[in-house]
Amino acid sequence: MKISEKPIFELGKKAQSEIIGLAIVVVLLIFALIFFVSVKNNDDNLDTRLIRTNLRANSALNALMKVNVDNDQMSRLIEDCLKQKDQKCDVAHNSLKTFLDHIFEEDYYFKVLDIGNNILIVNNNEFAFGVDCKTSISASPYIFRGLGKAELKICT
Amino acid sequence: MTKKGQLEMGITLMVIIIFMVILIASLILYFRFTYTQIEENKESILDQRYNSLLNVIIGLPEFRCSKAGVESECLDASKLDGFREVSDSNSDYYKTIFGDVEEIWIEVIPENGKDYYDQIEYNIYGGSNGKGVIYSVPVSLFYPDYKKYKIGILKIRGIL
Repeated sequence: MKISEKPIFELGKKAQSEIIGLAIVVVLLIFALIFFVSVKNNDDNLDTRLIRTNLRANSALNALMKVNVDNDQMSRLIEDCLKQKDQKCDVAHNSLKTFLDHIFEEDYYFKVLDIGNNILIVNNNEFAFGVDCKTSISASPYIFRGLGKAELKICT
Repeated sequence: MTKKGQLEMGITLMVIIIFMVILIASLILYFRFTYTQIEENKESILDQRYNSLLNVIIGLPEFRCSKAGVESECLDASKLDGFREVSDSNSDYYKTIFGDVEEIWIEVIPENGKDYYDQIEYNIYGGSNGKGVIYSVPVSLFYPDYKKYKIGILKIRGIL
């Protein structure tokens, strides 16, 4: 039994254009749905990450500045280093690197800035560790009064 | 039935089949998405809860450094050293604070020796055979007998 004399691809031009229009609308709807879902998910995750990272960043910077290296606290070592760039700077630099690598599994960026907001460099050792990232959470900077500051960012 | 009627029946059937396929695919997608969202919400709630707990633990007077009543932002290692006995004898009280966490402990950068100054881990609460997710935060540890600070990682193992 023959159902139709014309196969479907021989439908009129109007019908073809209507089908194409419908297909375009469906595709657009699917894209809109995917976009909405991905944006919504990102928002939810971001809030939680912000809370967690803020606590980690502030607590880590506080612990780093307090820790004793030999008989000096790290904050004192950096302060001395900002005042007079002597051999203590090497101790501070090496210890900072060791501690930071031990503390963070995620990406971070830690730097010590002098009073002119330039990264402290002593004996070719740059007091900047990790990789600067586009989106991050910063701890409140640790201020070395009249000398500079230390900043820590955790990448999100 | 006329040819035109047959053709229209065919088209209607095709439309219904395509509609059903799209509907079923959409339903599968919707339920998968809802399931994923529920899982993510659960994870997010647990994440917030355990991070708040980390904050609470850091602020507990049982652990916090203090001198002449003035608290500072660190944990006292001598208090941590003796806390296990305190928590075991007041388990009901600490259960209300720590909730359903499986384990709370602090890892310290290791050094040689046997004194509490050289202890590499302080087990604060719970056992060590859990399989839950670990949440952590770096903390400053103060050793009053030596007047020195170290860095520790406060960790809690939550439920799955």
